[in-house]
Amino acid sequence: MNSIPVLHFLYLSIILFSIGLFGVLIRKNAISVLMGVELMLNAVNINYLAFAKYWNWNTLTGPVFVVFVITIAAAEAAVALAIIISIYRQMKSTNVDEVHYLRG
Amino acid sequence: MINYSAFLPELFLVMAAILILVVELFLTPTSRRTILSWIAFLGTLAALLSLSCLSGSCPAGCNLGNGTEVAFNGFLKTDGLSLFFKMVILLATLLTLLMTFRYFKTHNTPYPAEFLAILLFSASGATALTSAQEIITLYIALETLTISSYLLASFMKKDKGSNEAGMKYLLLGAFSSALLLFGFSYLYGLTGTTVIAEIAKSLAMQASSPLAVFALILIVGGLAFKISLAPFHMWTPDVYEGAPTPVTAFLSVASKTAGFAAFIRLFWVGLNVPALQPVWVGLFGVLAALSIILGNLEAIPQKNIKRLMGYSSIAQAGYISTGFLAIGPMGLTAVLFYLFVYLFANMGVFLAIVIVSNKTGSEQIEDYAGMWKRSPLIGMVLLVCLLSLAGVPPFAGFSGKWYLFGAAISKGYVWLALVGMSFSVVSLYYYLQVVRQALIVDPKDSSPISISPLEKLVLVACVVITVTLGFWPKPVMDLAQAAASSLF
Repeated sequence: MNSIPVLHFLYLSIILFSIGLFGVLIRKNAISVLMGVELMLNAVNINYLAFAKYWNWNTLTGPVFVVFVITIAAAEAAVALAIIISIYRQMKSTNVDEVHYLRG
Repeated sequence: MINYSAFLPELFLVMAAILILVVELFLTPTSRRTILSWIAFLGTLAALLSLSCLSGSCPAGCNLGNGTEVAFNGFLKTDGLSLFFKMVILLATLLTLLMTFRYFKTHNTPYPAEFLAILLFSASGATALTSAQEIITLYIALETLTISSYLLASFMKKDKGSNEAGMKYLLLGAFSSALLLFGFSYLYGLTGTTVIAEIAKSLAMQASSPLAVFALILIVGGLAFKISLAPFHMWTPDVYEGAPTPVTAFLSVASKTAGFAAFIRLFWVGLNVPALQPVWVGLFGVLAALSIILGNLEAIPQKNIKRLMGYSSIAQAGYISTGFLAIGPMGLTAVLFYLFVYLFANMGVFLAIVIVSNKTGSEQIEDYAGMWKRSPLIGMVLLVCLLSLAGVPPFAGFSGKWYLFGAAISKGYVWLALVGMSFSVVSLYYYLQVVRQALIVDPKDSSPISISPLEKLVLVACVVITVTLGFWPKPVMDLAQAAASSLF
């Protein structure tokens, strides 16, 4: 049976990862930065599933890791949004550049 | 059948944290802070005592096993090495709890239970990280530690600094976790396993490939964020300054210790293969040298003592990485000994900062003027602990650095040891700025500072340990050697 080669998944994930990385580096809004991080984490998930397919799907290591990554990403997003809302209440902005109360 | 003793300390911490959250519901706001602090304290103390039972040579004779406990198919293994790391982390947690009690007297929070519970969850993540033998376990423990730390850093909701510290820590922390995971995914792709020892076996049979080097760089970058090695250190000063002081103290010791534990498991066991070892050793050499240079130079102009300690901790991470590069029992012993010394010196300074800022409401170095006259003990702590961090001879920091640089030289990293030594001299300048204010300059306000008996006891203990280990490092060195022997 023909199926999509593993390498194609890897190309997809590296493209997704680069988009996420680019977003993190150039975006000023904290929520956009967070979205960039989520893209990077999704690239990781694609990688794991692709490699799980390449090695041995039956050991479930790859899929299990993906479930954990999704769970932890959800926890991280919850904490992140709480902190960003708290910042917005204080400073009326979620721009990373405008939040600079601490200076050396 | 699950072997519970492999994660007994974590179990105590998590149980205490849950107990705090439940008990809080039945208490009145006036009495709860004391009671909840005691629960947290006893839980951490129980975890600390359980380490002695787990070590297989308990003085009280209540031994559990023979020093190595394995659970979950070997994914979690508590051996002598992880017991030493756990001891450092739990001692740091105990001292943080003491600071928390004082800190919340002036910085009132309506949520003391949540703070204590999150602190204990964070500590349980840090201790679990030291036993992780597998990448998924390692990642989950790491995230338990860091996600809780984001919350702790931004805990003072009404305080702009604390909020900003939390946001910066979170964005950079999440970013570094993503880098680390991407690296891990390629590691899994190359080897088909997530068990660290199996990864080593599989990698040893492969030639060096660009993909492996790429994965390695991502992993080094991701983890270097966590222990604030330059050039991944930009979050450190802001977070250290903005976070509540007990949290800063916790991050500076517990989080760093856990990070080094992960480094040793991952790099010394998993990636110590001929094809990859020169690459990461080279990377770490550069990172360690950069941390020592940048950390020490940027600390010089600082006016805020917490920010100064932030830069100082970057430099300290650089020194410890110097020992980390000397792969072998000697390097490991040096790293463990230095972490122990660093724990008491740093915690002593932070306890003094909490007590002083509780009275004066200031964290500026110039407000430490005449501290010697206002409280001789705090003057003494600042003198001994800061000079120990600088590595001045009679104190423990000197013997610690002696072992670190000695291990590095024995493995041929003479240049790195020279960088470390010469920048230790630079560091003396900014540490002495604080000591000069405290001991020589006349006080602007000479009202005495009151210290509770327990705090006095801890401050004296920090001074005594820091001085004693300088003259007589043998007891802790023996302990560190025994811990190191479980890896070699």
